Amino acid sequence: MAAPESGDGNNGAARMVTLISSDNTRFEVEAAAASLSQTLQLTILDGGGGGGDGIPLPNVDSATLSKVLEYCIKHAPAAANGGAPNATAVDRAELERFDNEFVNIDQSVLYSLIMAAHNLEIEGLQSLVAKKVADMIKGKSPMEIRRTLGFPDPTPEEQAEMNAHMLEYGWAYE
Amino acid sequence: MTATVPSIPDDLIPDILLRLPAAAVVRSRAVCKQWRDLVDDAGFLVEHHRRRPPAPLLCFRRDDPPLADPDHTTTTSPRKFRVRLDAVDLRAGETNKIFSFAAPARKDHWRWGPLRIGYTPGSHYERDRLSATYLVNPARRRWSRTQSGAGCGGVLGFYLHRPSGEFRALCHVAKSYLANDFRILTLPPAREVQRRILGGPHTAQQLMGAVPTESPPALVAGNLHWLRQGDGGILVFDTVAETARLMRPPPPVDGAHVAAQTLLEIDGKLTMTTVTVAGTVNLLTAAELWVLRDYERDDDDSWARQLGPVPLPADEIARLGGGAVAVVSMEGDVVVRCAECMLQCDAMGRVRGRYEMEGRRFVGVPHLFKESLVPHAHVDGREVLTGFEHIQSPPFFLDIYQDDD
Repeated sequence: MAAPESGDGNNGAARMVTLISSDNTRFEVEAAAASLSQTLQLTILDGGGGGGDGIPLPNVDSATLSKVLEYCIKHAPAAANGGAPNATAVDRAELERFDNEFVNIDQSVLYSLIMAAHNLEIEGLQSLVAKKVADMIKGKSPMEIRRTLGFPDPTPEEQAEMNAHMLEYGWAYE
Repeated sequence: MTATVPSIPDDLIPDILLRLPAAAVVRSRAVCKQWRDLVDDAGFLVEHHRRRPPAPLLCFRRDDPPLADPDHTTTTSPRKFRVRLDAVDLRAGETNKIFSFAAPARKDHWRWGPLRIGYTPGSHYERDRLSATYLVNPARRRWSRTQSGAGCGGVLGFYLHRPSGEFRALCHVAKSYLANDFRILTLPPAREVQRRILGGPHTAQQLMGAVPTESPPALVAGNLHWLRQGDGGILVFDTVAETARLMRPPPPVDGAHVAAQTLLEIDGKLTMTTVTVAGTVNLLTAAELWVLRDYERDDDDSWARQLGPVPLPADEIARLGGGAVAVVSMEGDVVVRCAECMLQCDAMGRVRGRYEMEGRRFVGVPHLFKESLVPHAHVDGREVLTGFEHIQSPPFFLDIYQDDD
């Protein structure tokens, strides 16, 4: 299973790498998919993650990692096209559908994904989850936003400021 | 395994807030001190504006009949018209109301600027004369009212004059039967300068060729661009020098009947939509999007075909009396102005949305609107109270939440 050590191994079978979650589950994926992570890309370019080694990811649990890899595997072909200027409308629509479905998840899973995307520096996933959070809060009041995001209850001063803001910018609260 | 309370890392908050619509950004100021500091930052606001998805505008109009006067003894009260302006969220397939109001029906002139909207209602008393000009930024609910541009027939274009930082309007002055004249109005309320535009190699008659289009101009590289009726040429108004010139359009396509349709600014580039017209009944079968690659160049290679041919639902368009077609994104979203509605189609030629309003006439506005929360001293609401002591808001804000009965 060891991949040939040649530099740009685009010949033959795709090179595979192994990732190890914080709870010691091993995931084997194509190097191209894992390389969507800026953090992993350097290690993989250096030949890491192949064979029995595996790359440990102490900040990502297995449930989150499998979700992250689902995203990477789906997006790797388009990313390989270099931002896909030639991608057909069908491809794009299909990816869009996948993305919408992908973030249709529990808030706790979403937050784990946000952290993982951030730690692994997966740009597309970062913006996808950021967009999802934006969609979650865009119709909410400041108080509802605080609750949604798990902020502590406002102090009396903060509460007073929230009320004053609402009076001044009433139109934004319709 | 993960026992920690899930929360969002601080450095991801900007990325989230940058994706909110303008009103939600304003609300988010009240969430906490950190968010307020973030959102009040000038750099944040500029980036927020840059990222807002361009939204095609929909304008609906209804003319109310004059009040009944069966005896014909007195003059009837003036007819009113109601105007409502919406922006289409192409991704969500929703419309968001920008404003609506009712006003006496007279000569009324509408022109849209890129970030802000200039509203110039016609005078109740004198035809061909503007009673007032409003500068409005709907995203911030800020406005300014300026005095009339006496003698000006209509605002053709509206722009930020960079050297002075002022908003200015290019106006057409109908000088009775003699000649056409074009003037520039400086719009800040404090002072108003009116002067003729300086020569330039092209005459008022050539500028006039741009006037019949209902389209607001496309603002790219600080300049205003119109598609000239008839010859498909492009007229440019340089907003710094304040002179007019002609620009080379995309090269003609051999062997097909292709018509230039719309000029739009997309992603900071000047684009032109062309359509293929087929058959004896002039079916609009496909659209192409051309992009001006390098603004400074002026040769045969300056235009490139970005998209196309994008298929159009030709029969549906014909059935709905469709006319003007505009490709409104680099991804191939298309809007088609029809007799009573606007159609939204995707890059595969499928109809994705149909926007209309019962009892209202659809007035097409081939223009893309991007919300901006960036403040400008000349569009700042406070001035309006002088001269408007008796009301709190100009009409387009007064009515904004009323039902359009």
